[in-house]
Amino acid sequence: MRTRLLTSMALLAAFAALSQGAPALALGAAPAARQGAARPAGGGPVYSHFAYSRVSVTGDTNPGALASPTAYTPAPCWVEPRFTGADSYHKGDPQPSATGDADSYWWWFVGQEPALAGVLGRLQGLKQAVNKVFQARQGGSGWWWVPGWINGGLNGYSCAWGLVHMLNFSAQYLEYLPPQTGGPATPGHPIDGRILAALARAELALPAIKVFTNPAVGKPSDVNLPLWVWVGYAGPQRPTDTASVPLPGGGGLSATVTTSPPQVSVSVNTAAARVYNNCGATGSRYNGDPTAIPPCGVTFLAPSTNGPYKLTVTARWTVRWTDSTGEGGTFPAPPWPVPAQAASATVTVREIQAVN
Amino acid sequence: MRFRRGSAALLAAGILACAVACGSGDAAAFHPGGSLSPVPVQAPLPGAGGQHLGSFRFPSDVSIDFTAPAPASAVQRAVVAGYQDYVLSLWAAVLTHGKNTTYLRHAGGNAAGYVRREAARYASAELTVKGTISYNDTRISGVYFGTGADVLSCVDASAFHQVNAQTGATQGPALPARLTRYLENVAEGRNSDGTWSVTRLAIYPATSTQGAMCR
Repeated sequence: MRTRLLTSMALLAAFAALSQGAPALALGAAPAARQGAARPAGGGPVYSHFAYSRVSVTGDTNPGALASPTAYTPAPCWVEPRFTGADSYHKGDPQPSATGDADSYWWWFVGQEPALAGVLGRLQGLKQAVNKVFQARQGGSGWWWVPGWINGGLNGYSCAWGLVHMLNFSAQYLEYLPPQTGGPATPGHPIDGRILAALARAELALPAIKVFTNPAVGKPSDVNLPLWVWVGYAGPQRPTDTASVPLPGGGGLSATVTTSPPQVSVSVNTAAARVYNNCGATGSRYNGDPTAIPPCGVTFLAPSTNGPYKLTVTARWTVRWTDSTGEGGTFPAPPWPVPAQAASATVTVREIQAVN
Repeated sequence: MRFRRGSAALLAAGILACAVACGSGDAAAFHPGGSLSPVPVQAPLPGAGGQHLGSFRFPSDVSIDFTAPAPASAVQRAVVAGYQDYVLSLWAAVLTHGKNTTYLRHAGGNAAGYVRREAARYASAELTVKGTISYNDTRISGVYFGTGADVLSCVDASAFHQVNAQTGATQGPALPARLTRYLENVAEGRNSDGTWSVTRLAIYPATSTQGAMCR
């Protein structure tokens, strides 16, 4: 059916191209050249920060993480199921609309993204043919899939362009496929647990950390006096978030990203120090015993005669994902960034002056 | 590698110069999405021949410079060439007060609209541009499914001015809103003949979060 659809569309498109001289389609304002990344591509409705997608990410998120044009490493586009075969076509169509049925969506989407495919100037000629295509599918058992992409920068749009053309969506925008679970080997990049997990990972907000010490940050320490180190978290110690997409006809697909308890470590920019790195998730607060060795801290063995020492504290997590079908995995670095947060403090260390 | 599109001789000179200045092939390796900035090679100043786009020859007092890591593959070269052709066609449209419509072959979507708006701002024969605009560190952040590509370039228009065409007197920055340093992000699509053209354009001032890489 797909082949027949494409063939009929291509023939009609070619015919229409000959019969329609000037571009007839001027629907939907193209985005302004200086439009911010948060605006939807093509002026469509805002589905979070994803264009034409019903994916949402909830939990401990940092939506700004995807605002940078280069923030996201995996292919930043996909196709997701939007309509059942029962919603292919309704009598009286088309009324361009993002909701309702596949036919209406087609007419709405080509108005939003006329440059994404070669239908400029050919829509009037295609009108009856397009409607017949959707009408023929009415009541079928498949789903209509639509392209969606990340709206930060233009990499998502670039990806969608490539995807739409690879799938030969150029004449129709919508693809009628049997339901599929997707996966890296599945053509067409249909939304699946891996893609959702990647989106959730990209938006996961690891809490910033603040360094505390005894003697306190800003106060001098002494040679051979243990410095106790602990951290505070500006947010959940074990952040988690979930990306989900509703499926046509009910239900949904989701992927949840979880984090291990953080592991804190200490480092200093001098070899003249003894570092204690049994820090656990939070380090070790001073226990009141001046002779005790801290589980987490440092003993400087020489004064900071050339300027304060730099104490760097790092919290590291491991991040995993599982999806609603039971699949799961990790996020290897690279390409993913190492899940870590660091903070530093300067420590002035004095030579102890013995008084006899 | 720093070169100007539209002049094979200058391009070849740039490649040759880089081969000397960079010292080895590694220096010019292309790193997608990376931050490698090969040693720029100073392009020759525009001579009497100047730059050209097809039959359109740019005035000798207009210089459009490109600095980019050497693309590693034929596809990447074609993507970069598509971007540079778009840029040249933009300024050809401006310099001809909209008469040169070569951009229609190199730009679609809002990119074509952007060219039309800029050309319209210079519709008057009394206005033109002069100086140097540099498209630096142009790099491809992704090629998707063989037919879509994302390109980033840091643009420095601080030496590019709007001038009175008769007197040559500078009247202000060439671009509106005092846009002098910015990140230009374009989406490109592959044409059936293997060339690439710009399908969408976004501009982020260097002062913005998204444009920070161009500060």
